[in-house]
Amino acid sequence: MKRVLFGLLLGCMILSLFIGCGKRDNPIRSQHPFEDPWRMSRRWAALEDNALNDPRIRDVYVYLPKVYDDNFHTPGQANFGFSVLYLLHDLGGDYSTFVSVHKIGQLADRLIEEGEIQPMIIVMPDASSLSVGGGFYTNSPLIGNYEDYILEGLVDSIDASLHTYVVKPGDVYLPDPRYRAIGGLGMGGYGALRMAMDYDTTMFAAVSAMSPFASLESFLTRETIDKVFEENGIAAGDLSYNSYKTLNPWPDDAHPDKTYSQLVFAMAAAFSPRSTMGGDTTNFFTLATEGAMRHGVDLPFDETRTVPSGSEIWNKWLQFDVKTKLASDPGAFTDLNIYLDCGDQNELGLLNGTRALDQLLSLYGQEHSYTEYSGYPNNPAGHDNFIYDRLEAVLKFHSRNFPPPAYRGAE
Amino acid sequence: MKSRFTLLVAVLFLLVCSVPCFAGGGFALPGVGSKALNMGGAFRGLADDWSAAYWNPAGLAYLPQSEFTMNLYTFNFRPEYTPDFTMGEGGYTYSFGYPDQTYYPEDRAFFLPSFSGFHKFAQYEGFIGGVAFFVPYKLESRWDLYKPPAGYDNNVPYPRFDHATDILVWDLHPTVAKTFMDDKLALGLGLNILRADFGLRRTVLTRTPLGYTRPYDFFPVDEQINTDGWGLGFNAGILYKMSPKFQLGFSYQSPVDIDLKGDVELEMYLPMIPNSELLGGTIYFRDGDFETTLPLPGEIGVGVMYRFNEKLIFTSDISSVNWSSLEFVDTWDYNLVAGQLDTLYASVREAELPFNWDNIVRFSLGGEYILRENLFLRGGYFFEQSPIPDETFTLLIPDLGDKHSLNLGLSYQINSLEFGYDYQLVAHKKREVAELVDTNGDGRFDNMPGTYKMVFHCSGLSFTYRF
Repeated sequence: MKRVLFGLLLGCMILSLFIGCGKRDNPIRSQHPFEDPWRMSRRWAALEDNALNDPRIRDVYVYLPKVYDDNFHTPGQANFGFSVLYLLHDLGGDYSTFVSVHKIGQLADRLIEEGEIQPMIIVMPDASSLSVGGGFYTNSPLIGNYEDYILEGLVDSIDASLHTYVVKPGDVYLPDPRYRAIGGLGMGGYGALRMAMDYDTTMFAAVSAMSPFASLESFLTRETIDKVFEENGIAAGDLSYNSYKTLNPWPDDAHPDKTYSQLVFAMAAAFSPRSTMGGDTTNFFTLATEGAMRHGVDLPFDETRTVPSGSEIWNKWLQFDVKTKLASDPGAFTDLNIYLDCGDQNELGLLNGTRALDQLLSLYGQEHSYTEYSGYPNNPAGHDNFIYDRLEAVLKFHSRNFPPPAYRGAE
Repeated sequence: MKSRFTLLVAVLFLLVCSVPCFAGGGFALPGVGSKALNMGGAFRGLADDWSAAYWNPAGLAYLPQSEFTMNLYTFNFRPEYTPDFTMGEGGYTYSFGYPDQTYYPEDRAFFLPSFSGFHKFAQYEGFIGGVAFFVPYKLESRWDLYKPPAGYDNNVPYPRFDHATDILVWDLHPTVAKTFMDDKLALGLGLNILRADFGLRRTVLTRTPLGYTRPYDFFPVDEQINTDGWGLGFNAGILYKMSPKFQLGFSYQSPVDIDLKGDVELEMYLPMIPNSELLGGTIYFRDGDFETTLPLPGEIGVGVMYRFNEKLIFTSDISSVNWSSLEFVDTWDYNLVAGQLDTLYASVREAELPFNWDNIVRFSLGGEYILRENLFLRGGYFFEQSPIPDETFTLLIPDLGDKHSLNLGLSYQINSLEFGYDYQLVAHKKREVAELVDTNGDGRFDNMPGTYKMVFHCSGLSFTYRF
């Protein structure tokens, strides 16, 4: 008996050596490798014959969710289709920026896998301009009809090529704008807002704008104009006309940073382009010549670095200004789902404009989402510091505002 | 005879393992010796077995016979960590590749040897000398924690175990002790011959120049340090038998500086950004020699033993460990070739590894009851603080905080042999580290925010032969 008890005790002591030995498993973290999205390269009619000879052949990246099956998901299936988000890049970017720099493909893959967003198609067109950096998604004889390129050429191409949601009330397939949204960053945010409000819910049901140029008045301040002069090497107190006429958007060895200059000239190419063989050239800047014809832009400010009161050029700009258009047509965004954000340290001064738009929307009782986000030490929330993070909020916004998934095979 | 042989074989069979409990403060073990640990480490006032070489060398002078001892422990360390590796405020927080779920290290059992031999020199009354071998510091863990953020797209997978600790300090401890004043007073002196292996592996988030947007504002560097070295120290003790019922002990352990030499490897994982000359998703590798000094703390302690009756004794200890000597580990000298990306390595190369630890106090209680002739039951408890402040707390040395230990054990004597068993449960207070901190402004974060929990179990067997 004693031996048995002793053996039991010894056994218990030996077994106690292994208390707490169970293996614990860690959560599995999925990997989402980079994959080249589908790339569409085409000649776009809307960009033909622009005066500055910006290319007509443009690439478009199209993100397709992993459930997309070419053999199964074909275009033109009535009452079936994926929702589509048209995502417009900023000045200085191109069709690849969201994919290569901000990694939207991996982000979308992860969010879809985690069930945070519904599978959707994301279309990212190229609206860069070799001459002025970007087209501001506006029709311009100088650089091309970027609005038509997006709203007519691109949208029609996507609907004809991919399994996007269409209805067939009669003999014709028609897209359903509830399944279409538009968004963008910076210049792209401006373009998205302007095109959404111009077409209301006939084209898109939702619009998102990350750090947009929401108010040209808030952007083109004396401070901004001074920066344009500074970038061109013109001293702070120099108000001479001759110096003013040396302004240009092209970086060189002596002036490598022309960020504000490019912005202003790109806006001018979109909002106040002009071709002339003479006439008033007080505020005119030539960007290209064609024989005797000079193609260029009128800038709304003069050598005094102010916008003269009653300036016709400025009035032209305001015709394209989102805030001004909203103030004159408070119902412009009715029924649209709207997302706005801006970093609280936006170095381009876009925070005031976005705030102004937010306040105007609230004044008109227009429901919308507005976020001013902060950064952290040594990484302030500047213009494009946190796009990687904000895109997650944007995709979730659009996913919430799309109807439930209706692609073939969706549960 | 057969039963004794069977028992001996069973014990020898188990003689493959021993403890890396880091239930002690910092990366120290809670102590050595089955009997001492049974009693919660309240042993300075009793110190009546081989482990007195560690607790209070004066106690060796009262050993009744020469003896040889071996110890064997199994330790099961069960930490868990829920990272909160984010920055930002006002509701906008941004993560850096650490998950926000609970993670565990690779669960493993650890083994270490310890043994001793002490001889009573008959020609020198009351004098005993010998040597002990034990491990006062041990910590080993491996975590699979960090992955570059989604979209980082480095071509080489990040290492699986990106955070690892491998610290081992063993002590070869020649000790002598002698009684005085008609055996009322004993003095002891021991020499620490320390050999240390110190290895760390961690991810260092290195700030990139302004203009690199998220998630490229930090590049992860996989840093591996492997070093070893030697150190010398001493400990001394006094044990005073005030009466047959009451003993008072005092011990001092000197601080020891260990000169570590080895190498360091740095692998910077670069993101893949198309059309970037520099950022092609590759690894930028550098290595170099490494030298530093690891200051191990000194300790001072007092203990008492009270003999309630012939069957029951109580002990109590209080001690202070001078961990504040561990402020930082010095900068390293890397033999780096100048290159474009070496500017990014600057913050890694020239930085200190800050500790800024605090002194701690440990309070122990213990008791022994003679259940039957030759059968001893023991129990103990200790309370100990953590020396590690929030600003340098990481899971590499997860001494979470205040801890309570419950110890139970027994030993059984058969003639010249004694077999011991003990079990220890140490519960750490949950710790929450709130925010990322760069204590010395070198551009590197010095802590790992999040929630930490830990409990661990120790079990041990001992074998003593007296002659």
